[in-house]
Amino acid sequence: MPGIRVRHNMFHGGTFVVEAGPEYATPIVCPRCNPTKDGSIRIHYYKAHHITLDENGNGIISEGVYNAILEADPHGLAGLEVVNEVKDPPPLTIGMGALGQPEVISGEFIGRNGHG
Amino acid sequence: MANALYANYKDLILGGGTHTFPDLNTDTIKLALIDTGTYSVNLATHQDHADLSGIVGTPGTLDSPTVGTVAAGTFDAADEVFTSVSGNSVEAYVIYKDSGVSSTSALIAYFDTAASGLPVTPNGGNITVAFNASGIIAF
Repeated sequence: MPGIRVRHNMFHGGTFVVEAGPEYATPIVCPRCNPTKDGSIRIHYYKAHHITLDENGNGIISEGVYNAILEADPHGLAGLEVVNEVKDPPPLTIGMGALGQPEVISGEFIGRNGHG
Repeated sequence: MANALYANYKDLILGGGTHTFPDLNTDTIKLALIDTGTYSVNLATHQDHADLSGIVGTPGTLDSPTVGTVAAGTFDAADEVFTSVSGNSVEAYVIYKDSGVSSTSALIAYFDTAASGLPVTPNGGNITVAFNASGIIAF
């Protein structure tokens, strides 16, 4: 399955952060989440997945990310629901190209190995 | 932490270290996407590919490598494209020499900050590591 389209019914138009997985050996001062609107420093202590949601709350994740979130929250999937398969997901870029910095949504799900 | 060279690679540059010194111009230099929820970097002690864990997808070979072309003392290569990445979220990447044997493939550099797209959550599509025009590693 190339990509999995998911939807969040409450959040849209930004980055939805799901902390679902093992604790980082070294906490991450996340460049995608900082600077925050209120000036505070946002740090991830647990494995974090940044899901870009469009204006309708839709995002696309890989099967590996889906499985990681599902493992942490088998019944709730962090509030996401599966919409459909995406055969040709858009490319992503790591690098110095100036990507947009979508607003990080303040509300988030935090689940750690299924124990919420 | 900041992007950095592995200590063993520094030692190799100076004539010491473990494993064969990587020739960035002619050796097979690879890039591995890394899930740091699994891999915890230790620049002081990690020496080779066997020390890595949490590799997402299949490491790619850096094409069109140059040394001293972009600028003196600078290593550069073509952007690296990973096809249909289906694994876990990626917080870092590692560049290493692939000797063909994991336990002798010397680690070179660890990147977790300078790239604008990190961390990246794979969506099942391609992920491109687009290097800066000024090169990848400079001394």
